[in-house]
Amino acid sequence: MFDVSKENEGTHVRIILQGDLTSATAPQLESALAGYLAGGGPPDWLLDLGQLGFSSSAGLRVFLAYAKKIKNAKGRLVLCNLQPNVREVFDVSGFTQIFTIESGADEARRHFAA
Amino acid sequence: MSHSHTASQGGDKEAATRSAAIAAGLDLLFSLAALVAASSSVILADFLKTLLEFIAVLIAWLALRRIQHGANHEFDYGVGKLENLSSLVVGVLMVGCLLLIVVNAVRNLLHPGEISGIGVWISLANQVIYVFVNSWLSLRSRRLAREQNSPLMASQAGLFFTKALANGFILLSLGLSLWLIRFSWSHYIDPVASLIIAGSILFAALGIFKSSTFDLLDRTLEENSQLAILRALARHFDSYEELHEVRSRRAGSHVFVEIILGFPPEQTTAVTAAVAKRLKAELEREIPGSRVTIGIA
Repeated sequence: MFDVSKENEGTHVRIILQGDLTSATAPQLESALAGYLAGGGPPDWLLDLGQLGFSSSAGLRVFLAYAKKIKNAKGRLVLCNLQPNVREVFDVSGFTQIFTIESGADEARRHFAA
Repeated sequence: MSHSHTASQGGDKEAATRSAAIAAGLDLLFSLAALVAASSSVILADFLKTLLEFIAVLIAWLALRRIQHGANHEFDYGVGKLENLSSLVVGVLMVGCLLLIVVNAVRNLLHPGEISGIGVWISLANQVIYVFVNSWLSLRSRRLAREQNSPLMASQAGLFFTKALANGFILLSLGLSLWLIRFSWSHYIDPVASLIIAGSILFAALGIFKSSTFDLLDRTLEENSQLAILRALARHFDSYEELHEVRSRRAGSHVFVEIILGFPPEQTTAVTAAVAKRLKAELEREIPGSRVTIGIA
C-alpha cells in the first residue's frame, strides 16, 4: 500500500508519502512526481516522509533522480520526518550527504522562508 | 578483467575439478570392491552414492574443459550459465542418489540383518582415507569459489563437504555395527545410518538447486549491490546533471550494470569521459564480477 499526495503551501509544494516504497510502488511515486513537475507551481519541494515506513533502492533512485530534476529547474528540495529505518537506508546509501534533511516540517519550511 | 587472467582462473578450476574426478574414480573402485565382498546396506548405499557423485564430478570436469577451450571465443558471455547448468545437473543426480539410498534403507529396516564380509574392512579403510581426501577437496573448491565467484566451484565444495560427512558417518556406522554385533538391535544401525546420509545429501541438493536455478534466470541485483550503485551515484552527485536510468541484471556469476547519465552540454567530452571512467571503475571494484557501462544521454 502506497500513496502520494500534494499540498500547495504557497512558497513551496508539500508532498506527503504514505506506505512502503518498493520496486512495485516506486513507479507510482515517479509518475506522481513527474506530474507535479510538469504541472508547474512553486519550484521548491518539501518531501514529508513521516508516514513512509520503508524505502528500497528503487525508491531511493526516484529521490536521487528528482533531486537532480528539481535542481535543474532552479528549485530546492528538503526532506523531513524521516522514520528511523528510512533514515538508515539514507545513511547507508550516502544520501544524507546530498539531501537537505530536517527533523520536522516546520524546520523544513524555514529553508523556503529564508 | 584480461583474457589471460580469465584463462588462468579457468585453468585453476579445471585442475581442481580434474583431481576431484580422479579422487572420485578411485573412491568408486574401493566402494565397488567393498560392495562385492560385503553384506551391508550402508556399503551398498555408499557404492550407489559414490557412483552418482563420480558422474557428477565428471560432468563438472567435462563442462569446465569445454569452457576452458572456448574461454576466449564463443563462451565469453555464456560461462556463467554453463556453470550454473552443471550445478543443476549435480543437484539432479544428488536427488537420484537420495532416492536410491532411502529405498535401500527402508528395505533393510523391514528385514534387518548383521553386516558381514571382508568388504566391511575394505570399506572401513576406504572411509578413513576419503574423510581426509574429501575434506581437502572441499576446502580447495571453497577457496576457488570465493576467489573466482564461481557457482560451479561452490557446488563442488558443497558436494565434497557432504562426501566427507558421509565418509565419517559410514565409518561410525560400520564401527558401531561391528562393535555391537552381539545385540540384535544393532542390525538397525546400518539402515538408520543410510537415512542420515540421505538427509545430508538432500540438504546439499536443495542448496545447489536454490542457487543454480536462481542464477540461471536473468534477474535484477540484490539490494546490497543496488545500494552500492546508489552510493557511487551519491558520491559523484555534482559530476553529472541528470540521472536518466539505472538498469542491472545478474546472469550466472556475472553482473551487468548500465547507468544512463546526463551531463551539462557545455562540459567537455574529456571531463565527461573521466567522470564515467571513475564511476565505472569504482562500481566494478565494489560489485564482484560486474561489468559496468556508463551511457551518456
